[in-house]
Parts: sequence; C-alpha cells; structure tokens
Amino acid sequence: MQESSNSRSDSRIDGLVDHLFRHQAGQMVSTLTRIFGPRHIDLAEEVVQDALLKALQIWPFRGIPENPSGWLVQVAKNRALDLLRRESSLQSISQELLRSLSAGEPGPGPGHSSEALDDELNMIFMACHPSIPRESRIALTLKTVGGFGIREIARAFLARDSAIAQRVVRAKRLIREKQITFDLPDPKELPARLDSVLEVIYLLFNEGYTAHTGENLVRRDLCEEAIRLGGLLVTHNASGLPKCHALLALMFFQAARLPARIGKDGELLTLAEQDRALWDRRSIGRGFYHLDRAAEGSEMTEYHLQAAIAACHAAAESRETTDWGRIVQLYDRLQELNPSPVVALNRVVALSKLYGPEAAIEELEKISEHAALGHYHLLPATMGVLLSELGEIEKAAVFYRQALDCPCSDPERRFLLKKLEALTGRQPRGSGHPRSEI
Amino acid sequence: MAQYMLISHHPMEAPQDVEFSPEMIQAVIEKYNAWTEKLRGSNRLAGLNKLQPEPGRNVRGHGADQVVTDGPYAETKELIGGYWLITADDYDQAVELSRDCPSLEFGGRIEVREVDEL
Repeated sequence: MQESSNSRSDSRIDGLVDHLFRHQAGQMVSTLTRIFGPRHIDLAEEVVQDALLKALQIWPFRGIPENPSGWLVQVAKNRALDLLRRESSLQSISQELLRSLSAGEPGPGPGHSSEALDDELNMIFMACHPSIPRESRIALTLKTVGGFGIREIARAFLARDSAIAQRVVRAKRLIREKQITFDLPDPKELPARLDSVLEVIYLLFNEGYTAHTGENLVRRDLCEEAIRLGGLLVTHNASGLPKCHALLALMFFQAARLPARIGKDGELLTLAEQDRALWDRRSIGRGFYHLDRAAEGSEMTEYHLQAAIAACHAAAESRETTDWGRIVQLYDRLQELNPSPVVALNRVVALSKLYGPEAAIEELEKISEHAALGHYHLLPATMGVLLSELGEIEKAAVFYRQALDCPCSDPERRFLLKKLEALTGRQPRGSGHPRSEI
Repeated sequence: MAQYMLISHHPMEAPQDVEFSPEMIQAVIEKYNAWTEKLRGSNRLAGLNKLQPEPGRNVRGHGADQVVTDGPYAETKELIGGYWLITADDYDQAVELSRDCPSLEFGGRIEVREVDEL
C-alpha cells in the first residue's frame, strides 16, 4: 500500500508533540492575561487564537517549523503589539511588558521558562478564586490554562456548549467585578486559597476518571490535565505544599489503573477483575514519590488518606494480599476528617474483606438511612454484593434491581445488569459465587 | 508520468458552527503534515505554494476598457488557498492522491489539472 520508507533525512515526519498547541495556548493566554490585565482575558484569548489559526494557514504548506512553540509565541507577540496600538483600553500598557512574553526554548515542548510557569500558576489561582462559583472555576481553568475549547469541555462534562460558555462568561465577569488580581496570594492566605485550587483539580480528575460514557479520549485528557496542573503546583516553591503532593500521589495511583479499567467489550472492570499486569508501573512509582513528599509536613488532609489507601492497592499483588486492616484504619481516619456517607460506604467494602460480609452488612444498614445516599446506586449495589456473598441470592437480586432504579452511567448499568443476570439467570455457577467487588 | 496541479479552493467564510480549539488545530496541521509527507516520501511532490489569504486583484479588459477590481470574481465565494504540484501516471491516479487531502474535510474543494508539457 503506502510507501513507508523515506530516504530523506531532513523531512519531518514526526509531527508535533502531543497536546503542544493546547499547552502552548494555555501558557500564552496566561502570560498575555498578566500583560493585558485580568479584565482583558478575552483579548488574550483572541490574540492566541489568531496565532494558532495563522499556523493552521501556513504550516500545511511550509511545514512544521523547527521550534513550533517559538514560532507561535513570536506570532502572538506581533499580534499583541498590533492590538496595543489599536485598542484604546490597552493604551496604558507599556510595550516593554510584551518583551516578557517568553519565547519557547528551541525544542519540542512548550517553552517552560520559570516566568511562564509563574504565569500559569497565577492563572490557576485566579480562575479558582473562591468568589467564583465552583463549576465556573472548572470551566475557566480548562478554557484558559488548559487550552480546551468550549465544545471539548462540554463534551467532557456531558453539558451543552451554551451552558459551558455561560460558566466561562460568568467567571470572567466576576473577575472584573470583584477585581480579582493576577498574582499569587500572600503566604498567609495561600494555604486556604490552595484548597480551592486542589478541589478544582480533583473534581477535574474525577470527572475524567469515574464516568466512562462515550468520549473516552476526552475524558482521559481530563485526568492528564488534572495531573499536569497538580504538577505545575508542586514545581513552584510557594504552592508546592505537602497536600499538593498528596493529591498528585492520589491521582497517579488512580491513573495507573486506567489501562486496566475497561474490558474487551468496553465494560467497566472492578478492582478484583482488573489485570494488575496492565497497571502503569511508572505512574505507581510517581505516586509513591509524591506520597513521600506529602509526608514532609504535619498537616493531614483527605488527599493524604485517600492517597495512602490507593497506595495499599497499588502495592498489593492481588486482592487477597491487600492490607485490608490498614485500609480500614485509613478509612476510619478519613471518616473523622470527612464524615461523608460515601466514605462510610467505601469503608464498609473494605470492612467486608477484613471481617466478612455479615459484619459489613450490619455497618451498611447503619448508614443506609442517610438521606444523601437515597439515590446513590452504589449503596444497594454494595448490599447486593454482600448478600450474594452470603448466598442470599433472592435478597441480593432485590438490591441489584434497586440499584438499577438509581441514576447511573451506561457502563455502570451494564455492569449491574451483568451481576443481576449472573445471579438470577444462571444461578451461581458451580461452587464459585458471583464476583463481589464494586 | 505527468505533473498535476492540485488547487485548493476553500469558502471565503470560515464555517460558522466549528470551534477551532487548539487541539483541533493541531490535529488538522498534523493531517496536512502526514499527507504532504506521504507525497514527499513517494517522490511525488514536485512543489507547493501557499497564496496570501487576501482575495487579491482582478484585471479585466484591455486598453480603455481595462478594469481592475478587488477580490475574486463577484459571483464566487471561494478563494484559492494554495496548490501542490505532484507527479502521477494519469488523472485517475492524481485524483486518487488528492482524495485524502485534509482541505476536503473542511468544506474545501480540490481542482486537479494536468500540466501541459509542450
């Protein structure tokens, strides 16, 4: 078919580094926002978009330049200069400032000078400011630092384009009205402001991690972006607090399981069903590295405990050799920090491994009255699992059906139906009982 | 073997409902890159040029009747963005080679013309 050998050594068949445009856009929008001022994020975005479109017009004919990042920065700089001359609202900005629009180092990746890093970090803090509603924070962070398009964000969050656009507009308006500044909070304020940033990053990660409907690629991108943003935080001394390392560790441990989470037919696989050989060892290694760094302070956050739990799973060679005792302990402490019914539910699952299903069912009954869990499918699903472990097939089926009445994603629905079929249709096969993990 | 010019025409107005996100722009550029590298790799690419995006000028008539106007013919809403000069055995092959030109995915049109070697 196609000719694949290529004798020309000077031709570039390697293309561009993954997500180069997205990351470069995020960096340039951040830097231009510093230069133009937070009131003018729109203009910063416009300049960057123009630069990217220019590349789209020229590169197909002229080829990809040696230093793509440097090329884009140069074009953006020229556009910004044009704009400074044209726009009366920008007259007060000195052209000197534009010099600081840092050009990328010659090389494949976006130029990450320390100045550019600072800009991105400031942008994150600005976009995640507590006076902006949570969902607007997420949208603005993805749109600016992340370099995502409105439509991509909408697809990832299964929301309408117009809804995401509105969230972004709202965030920008609040930045103007509340005169939110483009700089790092002062050291006293920083730890608290950081919580809001970490929350956004973790929500982003979870959005990518939990629901696996349709657009898998986009969603995996969210996980990668969350990890990238977490990485940005820890490269900076001011923001690289132990709790950032804790969150990063947690995300690396979770992300390590991504390759094993989806089965051949696109179905969700539980921890027990996953082929642990598919877990990403490199990601696990990074998880342990950041878990160590997270232990440097005295503060114990939820991220610390969740990362420690994830580390127990990552370290275990099998379900059987997992240190369930330690996991239950960690859940106990997590419950003290965050008495949420979801945490309690997860604790019950761990408890069942340690003390068996009866003890777990007892605990589960205690938390099942919680109003917040009323429509949470994992509550009846967990009960179904525990009952079927005890051989209470009919009772278990009732709970699985209850779970199916709750809102949940399509893969989760298929997962529950599969369990239900295994129970009712064919009865337990041989001596084995249905898989028990959720 | 003859030379063929693949002329890329595209609508003057960018499509309204497409959002060109950074990721998407990169993907399109990479498609073009792969397409031209494929032509280059099989030694079929003889040349290429991009034209300036402005509509340019039209000169018509001669002598006293000569008129110079801006832009393309009034009745067309297309611009020529650029062209590729390739070598192919015949029209069929030239058409075959232009079928996966990325311009076609974005409302563009490729005019295939054989160079007359006199």
